[in-house]
Amino acid sequence: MVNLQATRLTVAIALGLLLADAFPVRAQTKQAKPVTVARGWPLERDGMIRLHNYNGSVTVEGWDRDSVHIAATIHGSVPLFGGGSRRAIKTGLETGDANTSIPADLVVWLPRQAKLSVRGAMTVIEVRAFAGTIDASSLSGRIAISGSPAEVTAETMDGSVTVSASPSFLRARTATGALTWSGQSDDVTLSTVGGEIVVNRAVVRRARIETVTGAIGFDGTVQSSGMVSLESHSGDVSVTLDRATSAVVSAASPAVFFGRPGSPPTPAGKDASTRPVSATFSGGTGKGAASQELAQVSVRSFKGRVTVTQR
Amino acid sequence: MTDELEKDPRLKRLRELTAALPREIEPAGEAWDAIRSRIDASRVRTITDVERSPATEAPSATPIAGRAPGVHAARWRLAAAAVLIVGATGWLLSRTSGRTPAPETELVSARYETTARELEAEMARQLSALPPATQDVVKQSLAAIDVALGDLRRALAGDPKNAALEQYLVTTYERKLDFIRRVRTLGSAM
Repeated sequence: MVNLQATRLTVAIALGLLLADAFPVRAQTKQAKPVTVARGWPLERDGMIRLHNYNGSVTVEGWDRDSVHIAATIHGSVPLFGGGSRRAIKTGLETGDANTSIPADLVVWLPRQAKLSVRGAMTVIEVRAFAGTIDASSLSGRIAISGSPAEVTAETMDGSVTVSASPSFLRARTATGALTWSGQSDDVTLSTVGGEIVVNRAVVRRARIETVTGAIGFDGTVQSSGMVSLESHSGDVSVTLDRATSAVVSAASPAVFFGRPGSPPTPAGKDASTRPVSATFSGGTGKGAASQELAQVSVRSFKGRVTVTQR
Repeated sequence: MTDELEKDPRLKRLRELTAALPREIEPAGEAWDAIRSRIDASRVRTITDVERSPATEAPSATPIAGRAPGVHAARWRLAAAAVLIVGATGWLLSRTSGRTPAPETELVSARYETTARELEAEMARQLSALPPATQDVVKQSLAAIDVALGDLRRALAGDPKNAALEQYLVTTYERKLDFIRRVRTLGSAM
């Protein structure tokens, strides 16, 4: 009799352990109390770090030390993995996939000149006071970058991307998320499918800004000999050139408006959407730039309106 | 002199053709192998892997995060598709004057569509790894691009000699392929 009871108890405990192991996420989800974890590693000042967090947030800040410090608030009992060498570190949350990941908030301090890569899904990513290279991607979370990064690559699907910085190289893409940039750069590519693109107070040399259905607003300076192309299939495109810009602007759209006297009218006819009209904007001293210094600006919208003005 | 050069229609045409060229070309297979070996050699290891006991784990040059089966084959298909598209685009753009463009345009459209369908079929597997809301965004975005492609094809049907429209069409197809590649990359990273 005693043996039978002991056997039943053993079986019950074993079953319990098996069930707990079989449904770890469910068990973790019920554990609502957040867990705080802090970890650190040495990392050379120009070393590489890769951060993974599919749900929650990642906030990155540069500092003048040759080490990485992470403070993680985890809303479950998922471990924070991490390791590598003084040259490269990989760290993040041990989660299965984007659909079942436990939320966590990571605050990371790392050498200011490091090479940073962040991978998220439903993750808000913020980087500030950082001067290295940034490669950040999320799906539905927004990405916000400020500071003085050397290079930026940022990508989301329906999250927004906001860059307030002047990297030498900037690539930012979304699907439906809005994309906003202000700063100075020699090489810029901004691309969305439906998201609006807003460029404010920018100084560019080469830029390609394109969307399928979104609107584009560009306000800034195109440097001499620069080349900028702005294109939307069905969104409106509005360009405001700074008074320092001297450029030949070529525009094609069913409705082109050059906000200056003597500008050519919108062409009529079946090819009105694709036949470009051009105007020269002479900035700077007003004397006009030499033709080889004139920037080339191409503005196209197959179905939307194009407006080009100069301050 | 420079002004005259700038006004030269041939220069203008050259610029248009250059702008319409594909923005990305997959490297050849041998180049991929060399790149892959360098990436694998410097691959970042997780602490679990770093701490793995040498006694229980045979040393290997195999990457820690192994590639899913079929990735290599998919790259070959992508490379082949890129070569196909580059060739087709070059052929189309080399015949911009004194021609009847509609058949060529249809041919290029058909090739892009075929490539897009193949990539979309492969993308479908990665798509299921993404959250449902993101899957909806992907479908909406592809639908928006397809609407744009429809607009351009209809416009070309009515104005078949419009080279600018052909450029729009090629550029929009490239956007579609690029978008599908992005989704594949994001999905495979999840």
